[in-house]
Amino acid sequence: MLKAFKTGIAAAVLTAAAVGTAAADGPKLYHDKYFWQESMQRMATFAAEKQHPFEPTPYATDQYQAFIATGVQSGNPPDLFTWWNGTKLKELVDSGALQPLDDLWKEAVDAGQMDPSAAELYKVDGKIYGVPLHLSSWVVFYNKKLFDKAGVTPPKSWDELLATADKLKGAGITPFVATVQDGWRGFIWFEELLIRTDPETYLKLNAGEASYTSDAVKKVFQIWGDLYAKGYFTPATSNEEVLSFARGDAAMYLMGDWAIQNIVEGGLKPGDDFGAFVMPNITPDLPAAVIGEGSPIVVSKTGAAKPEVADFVRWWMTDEAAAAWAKDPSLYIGNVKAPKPNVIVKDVSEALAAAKARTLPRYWEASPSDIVLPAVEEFNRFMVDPKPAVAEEVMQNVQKIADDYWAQHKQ
Amino acid sequence: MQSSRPKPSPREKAAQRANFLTALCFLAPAVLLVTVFLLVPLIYNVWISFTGWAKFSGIDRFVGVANYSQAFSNPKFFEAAGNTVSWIVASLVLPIGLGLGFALLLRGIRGAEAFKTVFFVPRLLAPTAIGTIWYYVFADNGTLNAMLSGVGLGDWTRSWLYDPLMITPAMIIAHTWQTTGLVMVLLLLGLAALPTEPLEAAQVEGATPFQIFRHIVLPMLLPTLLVVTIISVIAGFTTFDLVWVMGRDYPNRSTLTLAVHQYWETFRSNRWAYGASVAVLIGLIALLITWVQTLLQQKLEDRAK
Repeated sequence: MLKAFKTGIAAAVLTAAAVGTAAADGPKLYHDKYFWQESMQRMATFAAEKQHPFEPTPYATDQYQAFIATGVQSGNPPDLFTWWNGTKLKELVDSGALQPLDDLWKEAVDAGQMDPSAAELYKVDGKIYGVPLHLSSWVVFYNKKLFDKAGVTPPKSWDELLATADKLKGAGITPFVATVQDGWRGFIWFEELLIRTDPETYLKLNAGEASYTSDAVKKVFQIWGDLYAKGYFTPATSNEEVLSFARGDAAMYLMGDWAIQNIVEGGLKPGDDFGAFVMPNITPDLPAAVIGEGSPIVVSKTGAAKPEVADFVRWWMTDEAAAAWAKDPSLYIGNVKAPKPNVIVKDVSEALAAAKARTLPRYWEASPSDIVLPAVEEFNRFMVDPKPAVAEEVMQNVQKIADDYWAQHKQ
Repeated sequence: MQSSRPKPSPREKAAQRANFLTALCFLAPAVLLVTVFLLVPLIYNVWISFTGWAKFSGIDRFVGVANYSQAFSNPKFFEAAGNTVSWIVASLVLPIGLGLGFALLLRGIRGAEAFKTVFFVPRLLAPTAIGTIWYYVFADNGTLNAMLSGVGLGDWTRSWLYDPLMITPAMIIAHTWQTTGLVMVLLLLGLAALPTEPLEAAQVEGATPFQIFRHIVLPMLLPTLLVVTIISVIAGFTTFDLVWVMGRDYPNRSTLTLAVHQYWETFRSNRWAYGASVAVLIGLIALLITWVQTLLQQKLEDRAK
């Protein structure tokens, strides 16, 4: 009896070990995009079928940053992981932990797979340090039913946008959803209004060469405050932002196009129930522009030595992988052969290409995070209490934070 | 009392040594665990608090007390300290007041067991779950606002969790809801253990129920109350989960307690050395509170003797 039991245990252990080995096949891809984990797992199954296995391994964002930082500190970062572009990528590159991926990019571009401009976001000092997990443009989604109800069409200029908002309001529909949900969203309208009025100041602000108390920023808060005063926004305190748009609490929603999947989960169909347009410029003679965002998958120097890591990255940029990733979770990685994830991304990217729009980096990645985090809290404070006096305080406080930061970090 | 001991014989000495070695063997696992998982990290944390910590290269230099002076010049630190004091005061007054009230009310009534169970159930839930439940009670489209609108008090509805005067009370209500049950059960146990003779004597003498409570029950219940106080103060002082779930996103982080401030600075802002110094300060304050409580307990025991 005992012998049989022991044999049984041994068999179970062996089976578990065998299963463990099979599941652990392929490099681990660490990430903090837990909301895409299920899609990543389906992607991993597909990848394994195609002989390019990987194992998506999610973390909560806070712990994730600590995990990567300690890995880099001890000289043992993960082989393959997702990161952010902009200042955050530069920090990591400066630590010497990352492997440039120019060779793999060259292969993919030469094979007619990848759009070379998709690498721009991941360049640090002329070298490319990542491949896109997703490339997103920040657009205004609009609810087609509510637009029809108010008899309006997507606006082409800022004046048209204001007229649209006015008509919606007249029809009893709140024009925009915007909240401070999860604490990070405060920069969205700030950044958008600034690039629509004075994009050069936006870039200078990120580089520490312009002030948060400058006229350009004052103008942003004035426009933003006016929109609030006219009752154009839903309450900033809702904790159901995407659902709120999907339910039709308001007609328009400014967000990265990665949110399409979330809106779909809320019950709307892209193209049929909702569309998107790029926010028109407020200063009319400005060139076309859009906020771009794209988390990279990066490879550490230790990971670069392993053939299975390079194999996975190479495969990730093919149309086979890009098409699967475009279907689920509807994300675009800059592959030109694969079909676009959905009709909205297709229309927007065509419109942007036709207008030769310039892609500007998102505030979250473009400004140093020591400024971004407290600044976003200040912007949130304004959204909850959008009075001119609060705007004044917010500008002063953020400038003080920026002063402190740049005093220590200016070369 | 023995003033001088007889010298132990060599045999006794050997036995003592063997005893000591046996004791050491039994102690070793505990000593090892405490050293590896408590003492070493503690000392390491204190060391970190005196260094500069660069995000990707680790400890890069010794900075003396710079992290501590940063804490003392950081308004957020004092805001968090102030909030922590409100939490301690509230968790002293509310769960103990309500717990004592419920304990006295439920004592000896029919169906007391059922009530006790109902009051104790929230204690069994994880604080994070409690935070989520109460988040939806106080949310814009949550239960409270729906109830107010339902009974015609629509004017009273508001964004409770974004109202500077309401956010901390809202979180404290959730905390009280969770902690009152345990306090009540402990006090009921304390009440059950009281001797009945003094109570009966007082009744025979014609004392009013309030007099009996004030002069007989309360003094005899003091040791239990002290234990409950210690538990409540520690619960208030270490509040993390509820604030993290319900008040983390409050604009400007003006609702954070010291524990959440420390976590935020360490992991959100990647200021690890500064976070370590806040952790040391929290430890020192906790030590101070415990010391005062030990003194009180000592006093109480002396009085009882």
